Amino acid sequence: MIRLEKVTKHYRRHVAVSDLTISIPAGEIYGFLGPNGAGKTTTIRMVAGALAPTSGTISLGGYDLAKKPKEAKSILGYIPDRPFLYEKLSGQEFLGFTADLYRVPPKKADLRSEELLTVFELWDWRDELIENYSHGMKQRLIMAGALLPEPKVLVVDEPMVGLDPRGAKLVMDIFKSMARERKVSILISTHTMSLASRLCDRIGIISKGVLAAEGTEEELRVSRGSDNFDLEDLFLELTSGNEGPGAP
Amino acid sequence: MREFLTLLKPYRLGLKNYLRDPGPGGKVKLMSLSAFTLSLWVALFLLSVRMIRSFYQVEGFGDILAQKTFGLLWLTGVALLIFSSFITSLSSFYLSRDLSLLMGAPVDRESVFWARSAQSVLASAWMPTAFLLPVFLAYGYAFSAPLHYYALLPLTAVPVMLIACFVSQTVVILLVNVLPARRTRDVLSLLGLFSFVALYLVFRLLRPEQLVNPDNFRTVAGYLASLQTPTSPMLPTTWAADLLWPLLGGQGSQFSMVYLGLIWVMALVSAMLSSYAAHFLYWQGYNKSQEGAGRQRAGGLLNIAASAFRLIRRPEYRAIAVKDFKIFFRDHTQWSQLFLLGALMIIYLYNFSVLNLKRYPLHAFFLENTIAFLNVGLVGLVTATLSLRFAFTSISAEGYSYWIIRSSPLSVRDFMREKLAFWLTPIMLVALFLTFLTNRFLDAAPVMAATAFGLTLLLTPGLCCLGVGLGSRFPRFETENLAQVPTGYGGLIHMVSSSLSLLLIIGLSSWPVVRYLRIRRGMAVWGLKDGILIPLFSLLVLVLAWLLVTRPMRLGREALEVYDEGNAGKEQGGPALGSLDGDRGPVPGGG
Repeated sequence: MIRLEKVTKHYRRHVAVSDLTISIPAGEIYGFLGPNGAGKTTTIRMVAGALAPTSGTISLGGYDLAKKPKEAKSILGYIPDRPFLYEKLSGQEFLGFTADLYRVPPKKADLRSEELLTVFELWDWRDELIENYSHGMKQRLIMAGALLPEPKVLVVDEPMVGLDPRGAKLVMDIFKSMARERKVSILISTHTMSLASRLCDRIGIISKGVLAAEGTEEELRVSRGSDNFDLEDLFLELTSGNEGPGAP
Repeated sequence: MREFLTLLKPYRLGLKNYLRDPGPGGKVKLMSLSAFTLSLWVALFLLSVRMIRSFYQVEGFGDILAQKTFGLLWLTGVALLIFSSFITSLSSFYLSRDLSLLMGAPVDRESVFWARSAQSVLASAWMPTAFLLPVFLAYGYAFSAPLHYYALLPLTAVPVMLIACFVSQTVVILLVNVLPARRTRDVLSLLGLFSFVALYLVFRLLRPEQLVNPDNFRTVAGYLASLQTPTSPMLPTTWAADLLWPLLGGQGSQFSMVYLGLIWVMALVSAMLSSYAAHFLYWQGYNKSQEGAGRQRAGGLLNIAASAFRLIRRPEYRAIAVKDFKIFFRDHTQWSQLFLLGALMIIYLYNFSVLNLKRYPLHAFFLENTIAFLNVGLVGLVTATLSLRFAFTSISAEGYSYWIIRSSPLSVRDFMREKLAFWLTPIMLVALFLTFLTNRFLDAAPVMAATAFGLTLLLTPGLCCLGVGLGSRFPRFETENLAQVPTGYGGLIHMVSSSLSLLLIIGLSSWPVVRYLRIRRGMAVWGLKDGILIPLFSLLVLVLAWLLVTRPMRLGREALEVYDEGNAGKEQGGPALGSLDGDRGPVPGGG
């Protein structure tokens, strides 16, 4: 499971995230919504261990990220919004590198690589250098890399950026099956209301670094007291005029 | 003109914003960098004045020697500028990330070209200007030149630099229309590097120090023939030298403004050529550069060589080692640095091979052994350079992909240790090889050779730790060109720290060594003082060597553990001039 307790992040004088507390149990997909600069990516990067919080604690699968980073990160899969990869490695080599980094046994790593390269339609490109891949292919390769060590926690920033409709559907199906069958906790940051509505079990809306609303779609509907409730309406209402500067 | 100025705005404003707010600790860094640059200029100026005056002590030839060197300086400066401009104009015209934005904007493409051209000239000209200006000023000072020498200097230098830059730009435009841009950059980088190494080797192997020793030449004719430099009356650099030399050599009557006119006309002609090339070929070449270099497959010999890393037992160490090895040999900008390393080693060994200490038989023993000892310091400097070039940059080489390491179970400590192990092995081998061969050339006593060997073994890990440690303390993950990484603030700190550490350790080791030599030659006798001080000094050396290993690694680890990409640009001491051309990519995240 993923747990954030009173997490705050300052960028010099700017407060990007303030006193954020979220808990995502095993097998749940949690959608993290917010306008640009609300603190979504900062939160995601803190959970992924790519950024240290100014205060508060983050734990993954019961391991405190600050105190036991190695254990916490060994059960984590992270998919960032921009596909920065080692351009001079091939797709296959990148997965081999990831397998060693996460100590996946060689035989299992070979099997998983083949399986994931096939699923993400990169098998024919496995020996090409990544610098020749398109944006969408790089994004799919990052996903393959994140799924290779079979993580128990998955953190995803804008999962559909750069994917075509077929790729997007494939990714949604994979995330659903990971949560339902393997009880993986998934934290997804997105701007897309329809994606959050279709994919997520619970939704949190962040505005100006503060969690403004949280619950299932049904709970949010009840809280508004209206049958004509729309997630988009609530989002706009909670975040109107609240667009922040984002991480510097 | 308005469009041209608008297009230069991001560059101008970026510089203004950086100077206004260079980030935490940035002002201190800026001031220390300025102080360092100023001291370098003063040192260069004083050294040049001394060199020019020493020329004049060679009776009868001093004037010719100073004149030839003056011409050679112009030629070297322009040659460097041409190669530097090749690379910067290729990046500015075809590879910058913001070009797609500009090409889609309602501005004239030729305005884009000229704005980029101006940026490219600034980015490539500042380095030769910074290094040559104090030398040319030293010429004026040493020769008590009239005031109009100083006025004419910029009036001559600016068009000469423009000629070099416009010629490079025209060649780049033509080349991109033949080759894909990315391949052109590789070819030009290699060409530039080969030429630099060749120039350096030729210059060194010609033994220019012999030129100030006319005893080596039987006749005046032979001496003069040896001074032939590759100057031609058709080159603008020759015109520049011929224009200014009469003001230095006191031959004011031979001064002719015709050369200045020629230089300005040539600058105008090269600008026109560049403009024509841009008008007809720039857009076409830009389109071609977007097509990429085609599919490249991984495999072959490199994979076989990389399989040697299977011997590493810890899989995460193996992962980083294999990745670094493959990336190093697939990236032209990285492996081509090996040529520089080769040149450095050849020159170093060559200098020792021609050092004929037997000419001084009375002092040969002391000279050979003292030089063998000081050689450790020189090998240390070579090691420090290698550490800066390879170990220091190895952290920044992760680039934007550093998020992969950051979010993986690999700790920062292990990551740094792996980088250290990867570079320490080859750097140690080079250092020991240089020490061994130079000791052979010097015919040093076995005890001295062993001491030199021991000190090299002791110093090299420390210098490599300094590289990895400071590379982690001052990472530049945002840079596109790894060759720029050692030129930043962190690189400066690395070289200063390495030199000071070497000075301290060699200084402390020198006392026991000198004592040993004196006792061995019967000039002193072994006493109680030696029994106490020699072990004490040795212990101090060991403590210092240990601190050199542990402190920088700790400093680097602490910094990298809290590394914050969002504030990275400002933390690293700000952009170098060459990197203000819009090449800097975005920082991941920012939602």
